Amino acid sequence: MAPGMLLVVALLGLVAPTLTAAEIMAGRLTGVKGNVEVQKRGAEEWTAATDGMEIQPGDRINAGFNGRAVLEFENSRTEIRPVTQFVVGRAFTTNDLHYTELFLQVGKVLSEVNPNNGKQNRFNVTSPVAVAGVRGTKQEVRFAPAVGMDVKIHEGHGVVSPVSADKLPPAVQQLLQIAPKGGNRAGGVAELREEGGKGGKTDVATPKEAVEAFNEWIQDAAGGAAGENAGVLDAQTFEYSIPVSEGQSASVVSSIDPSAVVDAAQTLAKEAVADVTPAGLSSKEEEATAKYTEALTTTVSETQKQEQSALNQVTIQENIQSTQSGGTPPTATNLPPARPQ
Amino acid sequence: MRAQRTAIIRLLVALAFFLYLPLTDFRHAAVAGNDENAYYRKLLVKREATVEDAIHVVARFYEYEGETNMLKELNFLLEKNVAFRRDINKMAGQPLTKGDIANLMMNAMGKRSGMMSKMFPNNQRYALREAIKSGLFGGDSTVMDRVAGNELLGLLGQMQEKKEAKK
Repeated sequence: MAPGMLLVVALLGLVAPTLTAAEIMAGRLTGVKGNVEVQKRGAEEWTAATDGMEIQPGDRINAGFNGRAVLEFENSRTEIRPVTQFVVGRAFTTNDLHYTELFLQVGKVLSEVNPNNGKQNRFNVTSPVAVAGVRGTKQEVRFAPAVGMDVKIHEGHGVVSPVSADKLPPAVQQLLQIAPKGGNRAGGVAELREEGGKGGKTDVATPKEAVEAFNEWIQDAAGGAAGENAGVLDAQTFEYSIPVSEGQSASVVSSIDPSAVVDAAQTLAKEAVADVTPAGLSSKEEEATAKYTEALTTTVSETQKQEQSALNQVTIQENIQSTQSGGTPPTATNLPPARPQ
Repeated sequence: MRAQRTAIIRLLVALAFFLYLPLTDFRHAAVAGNDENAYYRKLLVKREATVEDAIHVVARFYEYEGETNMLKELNFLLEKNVAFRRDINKMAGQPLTKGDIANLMMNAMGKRSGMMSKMFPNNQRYALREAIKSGLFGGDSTVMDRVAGNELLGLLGQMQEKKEAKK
């Protein structure tokens, strides 16, 4: 063999492992207590969970009132608390990345990700209102539909991003059981188009197809290009993110109403402010009081700026109308005042 | 002639009843499952929970392990001194409101700490206020808001969490 060919073969040998390095990670259930059951991906029936049971991406786990278990992956350990239901999303590893997703429908999970495994960690818990990401720490995530998602970081740091359920990929909506039945409804599975990410490219028409698309998506993730499109939840899905540090917690009630990061000092400061709302007000009255208070708290300069801006708008509108109806064009005397720079 | 007319009217009424029956909305009927977890799975996707569902859930909070039967569960709750409306068994299939479930839950958890709440132990408004204060409901909740199945399940999880924290 010519030396040139040998060089090419040697180079291919170096490149090949990086192309095929992504592997699907299988998890394992341990410490199963009480009623815990698993629905394997694609299966109809549920089976009782046992210690050592293998968990693959797409499997659904349901812990009953006294149910508890621990889901262990290569780089993470997740405690499943009672009355919790979730689906394991994509879980794979590449040469430099561990990626794990959980789709939490209801309940609470406590995840611990090993930061010292020599790879980058991406561990996301997605609920219908937010995505909580952890990068090598210990976090507690609870989702209760009546009050939203609570994230507490016990060690390290994480990030919480409010997300609108209709912006999640259709397959994920289907897994979270939040997609409207019947694919053709507005906002339904068929209506969604997400340009970025493999999960959003599929134009699905029925819930079954959505699940199949998700299955393909999981397979694609292990096909080699996993690192590039790892985010279900690409940056474009999020409008903004809330960083959460050790000892802090964040609550997201809905995708448009995050109550921000609250630490002990902030809570104390919040509680120290006297409630001046009279007793016996209805919720509507309390809401009205809150709105009125908000208006008063706006600084004077800000209010003046807003008023001035509104006046400018009106003047410009008037000038346009007068010109269109054959009036005189704006002159130096009737030009709107210059806007502040 | 009159008898014939009456017979025709009766026939029409009966026909209308049988035609209407398949259209009746039974979605408010409590979900039934073979076991506890099956029950929770069905409850999770239920659009509106019923009063009966709330009784099942609160009874399980007290570790009721008998069959899914509302009257038996109510008797069980009575033995545990959980206060509820006297006419609750007539409301079985009605949609559950936040006022109903807050009242049941706060009594079950022994969380009637406020003065007004103690004076009126069955008042839904004060119960809901305490539930909001405990973080079980959002601040914009009202007594007449209906509760979805997944919301009820989330509440059960939170109640269990608080119970364990107490221990």
